[in-house]
Order: sequence, then C-alpha cells, then structure tokens
Amino acid sequence: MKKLTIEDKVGLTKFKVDTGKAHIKIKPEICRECADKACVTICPVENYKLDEKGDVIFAFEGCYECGSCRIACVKCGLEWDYPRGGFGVCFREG
Amino acid sequence: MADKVDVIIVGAGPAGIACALTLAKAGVETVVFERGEYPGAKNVMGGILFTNSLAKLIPDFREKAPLERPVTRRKFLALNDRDAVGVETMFDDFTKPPFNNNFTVLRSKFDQWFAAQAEEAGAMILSETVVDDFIYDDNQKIIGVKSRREDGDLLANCIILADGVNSLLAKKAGMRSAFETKDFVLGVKMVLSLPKEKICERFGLESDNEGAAYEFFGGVTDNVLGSGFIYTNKESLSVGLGVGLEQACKLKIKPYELLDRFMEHPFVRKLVKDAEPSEYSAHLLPEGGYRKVPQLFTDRVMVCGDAASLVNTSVYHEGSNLAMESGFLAAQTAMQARGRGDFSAKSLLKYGEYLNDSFVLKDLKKYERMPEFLHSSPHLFNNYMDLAIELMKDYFTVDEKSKSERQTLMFKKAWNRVSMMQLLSDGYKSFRSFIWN
Repeated sequence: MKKLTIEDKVGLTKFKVDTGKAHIKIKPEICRECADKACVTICPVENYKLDEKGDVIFAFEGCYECGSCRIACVKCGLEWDYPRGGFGVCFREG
Repeated sequence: MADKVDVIIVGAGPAGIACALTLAKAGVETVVFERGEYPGAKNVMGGILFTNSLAKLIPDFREKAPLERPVTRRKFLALNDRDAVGVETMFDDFTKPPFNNNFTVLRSKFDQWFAAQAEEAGAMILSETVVDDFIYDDNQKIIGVKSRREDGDLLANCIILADGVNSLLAKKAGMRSAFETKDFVLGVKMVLSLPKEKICERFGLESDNEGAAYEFFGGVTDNVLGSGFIYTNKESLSVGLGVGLEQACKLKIKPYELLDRFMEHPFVRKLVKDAEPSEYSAHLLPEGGYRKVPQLFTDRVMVCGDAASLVNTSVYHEGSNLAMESGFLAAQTAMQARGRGDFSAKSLLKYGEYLNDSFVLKDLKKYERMPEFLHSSPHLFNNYMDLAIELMKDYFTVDEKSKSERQTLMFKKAWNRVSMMQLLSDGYKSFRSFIWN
C-alpha cells in the first residue's frame, strides 16, 4: 500500500467548513511560553504546526473534533468548542 | 417561555439512541439533540459492536441492522518491529447465531439506522444542533437546555447526557472532574477498501457471514501503552490503533506515524496489501475505568455511555454495549420517575443502583485497578512481550546448537532481563488487575 501523507489522509475525509468561524482559538501569548506544545504532537490531523519562529499556528478546517488538544493543553492556551451544528467533520464510514 | 417535553437526550450515539428508543416505545415524549449532520457523522470506534444490549432493544436487529460481519475468528498477537507471535481462536459456537454478540460495524451507517429506529418509535431527533448549556431555575437547578439554533431553548422533566467522551455538559453540570490525559486513549484508524474475495482469502473466511478480529499488542505502539487492531468489514478493513494520551504527549509520539509503522509491519503489510484507503479518522476513548466514572445523576439529570466513562478498559475493549445498557437503564429510571412525578436526585437514585447491579459497573469494578497499574508501569507489557517473542524465536531456531544448549541460553536471557523478584511483583500486580480484584 502506498504510504499516505497526513494531508492525503485528511483529504479522504468529508468536511463542511464553517468558513471564517474557527471553533478552536489559540492564545498566542500563552502558547509562546509553553515548553511542551503537546498540541503539535498529539493532533491526529496535524492542525497545529510550528512556524519558523517556533510559534504555534493553527488551522481549524481539517479538525476531527476529537478533543485531544483540549485535554493535552494544560496551560489553558486554547478555547475549544464544537463547530456549529451540522458543520465540521462528517465521517462517512466512522 | 420555552417549550417543555418529558425527556431531552443530548447525543445520538449508542447510549442516547438506546435511551430514546426505550422511552419512545413507552410513549414518553423524547427529543434528541445531535450536533452532527446526521447521527453517526461525528462517531468513530474501532469497529466491534457488542450486541448483548441491542438484542434486548431490537430482537431482530441481525436481519435489519447494517452490520458488516459477525466476528467468528480472533487473533491476539504480540508484535515487535519485525516479528509476530499469536494465539488464534475459532469457537464453533461463536460462528452461529447469536455469534457471541460480536459484529463489526461502520458507525456512520449503524448509528443512522439505530437513530431511525428511535425516530420510527416516536422520538424526535434534531440533528445539526449543538447543545451549549443548561437552563436553570431560580434555585440554580437544571430545568432545560440551551441549543445553538434559533429559539433553541427547551425545558424538560429529565435530561440525559449522552454527549460522548468530551462531555462538556457533564462538566458544566458539575458532575465530573477535570479532564486529564492519563484517563484517555486516542484512537486513529484507516478504513481500507478491499474486495470481498480478498478479505475472505487473507483472513481465512468462507463467506461474508464470517469475520475476523485481530488485536495487536507490544511494540506496535512503540513504548507507549496501547494496542492495534484489524477488523474485517464486508468490503473493507478497519485498521487502527489506540495510544495513551498522556504518554504519547510526553514521549512526543505522533499517533498517525505509529499507524503508518503498524501498517508497514511485515505481518500487517500482507493483510492490507493493495487495499484502497477510504477514510482516516480519530476519536478519544475514556479509559479512566471505574475510579473515573463521574457522578451519574443529579436532580433531573443522568449521564450515559462515554460521557460517563463507561468503557471496560481491560482486554475486552467493550464500550458500545455498556453505552446501550446505560441508556436503557437511564430510560427505565426516567419512566419510573415520571410515574412518581418526581425527578429529583433521590428519585433518580435507581439509575446508579441499576448500573451497579448490571454488567456495566460490575465489569468496571472488577478491573478498577487496571488503569493505575498500567500507568505505574507503562513499559511492562511491551517488555514482557518483546522477551516472549525473542524466546519463542530462540526456541524454534534450527542450527548447530543442541536443543539443551539453546534452552539454557534462553533461560539465561530471561534471567538477565527480569529478576525473580520483579517477575513475582509484576505477576502479583497483573493478577490483581486482570483476574482477582
């Protein structure tokens, strides 16, 4: 089986994106001070990345709403909520 | 003033729908809120549905439900990075109805069907609706919910929280403690399409009325506590693994990289060869066990399923049946409370008693030491499994060495790796966690 990148994998999933309405917001001033940055490790769709300065950048569009980052973030660096009803990830197989 | 119904259920998964179906069949006015586009849209599990509770709710589910395959063959395998040692089971009784109540399913299809049964019985299911908060009376008692839709407030005599592993509502209601990484496992999974014939051929099955479930332990999850699986669906495989959230964070192990490595393992590679990726998914599992079960009821409110952390964290991996049973028991309790016209915590006490008397909390109680034990020595199983694989390989090696010589070397190897004291101590702890509480 051909090895898929994480982008390929997430590309298989159906989403209904609530454009411009991020359901998770990060607080850069807290993230900057955080040594662990567990969100970057644990997010199963790699929505948290580090930019060239080492700051966390976040994209909400491919989010599986699993909640791992919410629990892993012990510094309260993010506001986590569900997307609006009907939006977000929509598993076809599950 | 908002409208009022008898019962509100938040979440249209196995717990919420089992509850809704039971209530609707008894003619209780029931509204289910579901945030997904349809029930199942947000739901993922490895893939085995345990149907002992479903059989009580819908006796002829086997003819009607979109099940994939009954699980008729099982394998339990220890893996290191290249080798595999395992045990296979095929119990003739389990190859016939009721198939030991084990069926593979794809949740998106199954949950939609299950929800349709509740709807047919008279429950109202409001999809695409997030419930954000509660409505409180003047005495700060919960009397309804606030949903994220226009005129979304709804009052009820009783509110059932079946909103899943991330239950923000149970937290808001003050019924559960903070969420901590050590109480959760992150599961990642690929569904891979593969023609029926190939599935049968590779897994030793005769038709699609037979199915296989392979569970993998040991090096498959690196040094992190966890396990992998391959389950056969009709025309696809569910391939995935679960890793402890705490350790994955600590050791900076990316779950999908583990999954890639798992799928490249020589034993696994052959099974998934040429399969076409259909979907990648991820979901959390509540694995805190008995000691992390939240407060199960308060005035007007009961918590069911994953929201109540009702997952058997032992080797059994049961969750779907505990969810359905808890939903069913919450419905029974709600109906009795309705008869009394009293939905206070005192009146809902029965829910806790029912759960205590059922397999749900009995099983969780039996394995209550398990999560702590596993966290206290996370490498334990992987180390023993690695050693077991090596010893097995040594045992079967054919070369110039005599068998006695070889076995003496094996004994020395084992002795060097594990001291007798350690073996006794780990053995005792395992015994207390797995067998006798």
